[in-house]
Amino acid sequence: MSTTIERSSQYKVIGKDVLRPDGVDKVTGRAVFADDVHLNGMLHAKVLRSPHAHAKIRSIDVSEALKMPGVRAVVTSEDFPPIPEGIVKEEGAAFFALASDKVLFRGHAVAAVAADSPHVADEALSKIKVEYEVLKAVLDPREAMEPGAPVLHEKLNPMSFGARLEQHSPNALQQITSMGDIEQGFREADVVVEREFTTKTVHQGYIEPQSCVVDTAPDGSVTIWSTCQGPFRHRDNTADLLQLPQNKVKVIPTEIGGGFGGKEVPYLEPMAAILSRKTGRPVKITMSRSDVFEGTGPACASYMRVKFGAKKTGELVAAHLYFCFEAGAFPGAPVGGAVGIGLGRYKIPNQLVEGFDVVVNKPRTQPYRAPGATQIHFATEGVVDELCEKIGMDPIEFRLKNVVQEGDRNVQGVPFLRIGGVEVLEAIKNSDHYKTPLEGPNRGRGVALGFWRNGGGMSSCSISVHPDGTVSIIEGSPDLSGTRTGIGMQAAETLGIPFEDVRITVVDTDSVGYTMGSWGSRTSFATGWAAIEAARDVNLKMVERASSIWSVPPEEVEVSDGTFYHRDDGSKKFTFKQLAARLNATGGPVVGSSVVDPTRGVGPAFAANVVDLEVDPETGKVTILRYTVAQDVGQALHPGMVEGQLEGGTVQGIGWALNEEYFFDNDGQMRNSSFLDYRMPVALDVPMIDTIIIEVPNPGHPYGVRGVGENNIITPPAAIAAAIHNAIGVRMTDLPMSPGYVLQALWQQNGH
Amino acid sequence: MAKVIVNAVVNGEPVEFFCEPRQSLLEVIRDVLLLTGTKEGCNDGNCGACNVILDGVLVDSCCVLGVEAQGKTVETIEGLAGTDGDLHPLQRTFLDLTGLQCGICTPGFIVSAKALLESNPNPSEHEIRLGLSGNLCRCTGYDKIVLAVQEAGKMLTEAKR
Amino acid sequence: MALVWIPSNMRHLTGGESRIRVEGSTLADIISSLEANFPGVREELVRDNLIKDEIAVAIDGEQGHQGLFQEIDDSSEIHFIPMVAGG
Repeated sequence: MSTTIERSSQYKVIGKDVLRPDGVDKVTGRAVFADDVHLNGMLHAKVLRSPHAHAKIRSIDVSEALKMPGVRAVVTSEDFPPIPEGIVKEEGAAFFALASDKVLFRGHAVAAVAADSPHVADEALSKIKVEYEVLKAVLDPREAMEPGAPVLHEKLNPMSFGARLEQHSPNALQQITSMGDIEQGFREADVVVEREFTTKTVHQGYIEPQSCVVDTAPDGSVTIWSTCQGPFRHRDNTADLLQLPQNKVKVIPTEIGGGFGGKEVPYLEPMAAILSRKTGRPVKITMSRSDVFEGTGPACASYMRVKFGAKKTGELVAAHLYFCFEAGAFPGAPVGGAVGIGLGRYKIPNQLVEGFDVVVNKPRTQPYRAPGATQIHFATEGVVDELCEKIGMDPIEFRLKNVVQEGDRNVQGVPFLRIGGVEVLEAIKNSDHYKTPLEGPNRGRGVALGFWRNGGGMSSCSISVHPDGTVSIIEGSPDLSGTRTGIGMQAAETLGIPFEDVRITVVDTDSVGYTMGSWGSRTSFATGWAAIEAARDVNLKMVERASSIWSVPPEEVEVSDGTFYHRDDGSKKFTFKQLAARLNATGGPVVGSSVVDPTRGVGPAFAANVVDLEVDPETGKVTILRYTVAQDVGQALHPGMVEGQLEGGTVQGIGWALNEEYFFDNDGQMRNSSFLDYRMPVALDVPMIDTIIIEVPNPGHPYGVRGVGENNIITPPAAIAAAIHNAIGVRMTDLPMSPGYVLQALWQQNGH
Repeated sequence: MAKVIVNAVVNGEPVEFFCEPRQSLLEVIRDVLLLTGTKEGCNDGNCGACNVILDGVLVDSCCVLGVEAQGKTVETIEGLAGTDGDLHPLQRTFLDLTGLQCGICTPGFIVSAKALLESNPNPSEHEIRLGLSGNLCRCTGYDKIVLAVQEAGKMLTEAKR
Repeated sequence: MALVWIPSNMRHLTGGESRIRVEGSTLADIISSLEANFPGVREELVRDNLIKDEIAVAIDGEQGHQGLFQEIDDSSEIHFIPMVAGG
């Protein structure tokens, strides 16, 4: 809540808490989310899911379901065209075409029914007869890597979540990077700490379930209204699976009720398109909450082994990180990313990182806010905290000594540009929180440092200038948290006009150029960059227009802060509005457009946390007393929203640290697939989160912007584990650190 | 399934609608009355996205049947702003204090906070956190929601003076 | 000559070498020179005459997006890194 921000106000629009353009619609209930879309003649569909974790499908009989009054159509995998190998580029996307020969997890979609009402569709599911031959399931990643384990796939695609991995064993892919010589490094170390860690499956927990409305026209073209992070990926996957040209699939992204990585893929759209084709009517599918838990992609569970070696003086000299991520039924856990950033925040001359992407009979996982990083930081920061204890060094001083700075090289050898690791650590060190001693029994303080690389990639944008001097911006990044505001601000800043003169709209896949999805903390950075470039294009064209109105060469006309002027002749001057009013009569309207794929540095960033907490020795319950997060955001576009990212990510991290987990039984069935039993933090569970916004401008971006969205979830489990140790003297190595686990650890410590 | 006729007052207007006895009040509000500001997050009373005020009492409309609205008043998010577009103080403070990110839980929070402030016009931070603990937000971490409710409480109290 | 950092999963092709100086004015030249000395490198990096989708190329710490046509300075450092996404 209390916020510290040190800034230079060199900008007119950027850095101000402007009113978000979608705000009024969202506080009045007018905003249209996917489930709010209602088309004439619309049918409702429900999805039949596998009751087994691993089974062969012998037969599917839908005849009884089709006889029910009100049932209009059923879809199974047989309705999908055969998919030539290699066509579906996204790993695992084939399973959006429904299970064919095998089901690979409990919740795997097998069939769907479209009916006049959702209740009729639901009833009809029970009339579909599926004969299964149950196979032995494998649920633990370490068991899945053993010889003789049940095999899920005949062949694993080595392209896994954007990184190339090698086949390791029938169920596992691996990626290894190394630097220096770890054996030599560990010999040089004065202190070595080695521990094992595990984390459980957790869900992104967006409040809006997956939902879509799909309308297939008689000519086969498909229109999709969907709550999705990446409309173009939805379009491409759907076109691939239905064997349609990409211009015959249009995805209209609705407002989106949270995603955090969970809404990157089309679970429902391809099957809805077929149901719509069969019935000639639009079809809506909205998941139930248990469908969301069991049928979508949670974040991966993990097993990690970490060994760090340091000198007595505090320098890290060697590190070995071995981790298995539980991919679920198809490969694609964020191994590549975790290998890249796992040790990335420290200068460690000798390091080896071995990552494994292991398939098991559980839901196919998806990214979750800084995918892979939270797990890895829980383990590696845990070991760092123990090293600090053994060496007898302040945990912030230790990190200041080792944190990477400009010019240091990452694990791939790429040198860092200007980066704010030292700044976030200093901010925590100098915070009122860290300077205030913590007193009382069973209370502890912990710190941790988190690192995230952030994302770049392709975005498109166009800007139309209207005769009254206002502009309309269209872009293609679904707005999960207020990004259209920050993108519009960058355009307004570049055009030199007030934010109120900008209207910004997120449009469908036919109306804007290719834009990668809203993930990877890329949206404000990359689509913001596209808006800057489109605004520069507008400026360029308006300079040309002014030059032709004045009959002077364009190079003599300059633009600054929304004013166009002749560099020598002070009488020749237009405000943006004045020139806009002349455009239609002097050669036609001006539309600026851009396609960017930022070729300069995506700015990686740091966050540091300090947390105070109290452990109840009777129940094991941990209460967060005070929490401070410092994060380098490059340049805060909208400080209020930036604080919101820091607060929200931190609370998600607190939930992951203390409470959240999937409970699977021995048959691979999730036993807590409701918000009652999968308990996410409510307002009463957390205190105000103090935020310190650090602005170390990213030299790679015109306005210094770094990604903000993901970094803040990374550190809380590690910081909380350190604080629990500080409170009760026990090293917590498994997530979540729920009351039962804390109590067990306390009993063990007391010799029970 | 045979439908029944239900008469209720929704956002101040008398309405008559048909609904199936198995339809929840949430379904009626969204699918029959087409007031889609009320959201479904879980359909089992654990997230509060579907909060409405039924005869002065805050309810999860997914856990109430549509037929139970017979003869009652229902207030949804659509009824909060004035007819001339003037926002309710809660809507104002959620906007001004960045009390929302994705916005899916926002209608439920605002309706829930309205019920809270009606029973306790000047709640402490703890009372707000307790009062809103039937509502899940996954984006904000609750800081700015709590502040927005506190601020709206002050505005409402001022206005009454 | 430009300096190429060899990712650890390709070092079996370079006899364990992690940094190699290579002649060439475009990325295509660089890869050809590497291939001439260390057969197999091209297959790791190139598919259908394009840099593989899953690989990003960083020139002096900045990602280049002109693929094989990317121009290379004599003093450049070149890194091949896995493309990764986020949540």
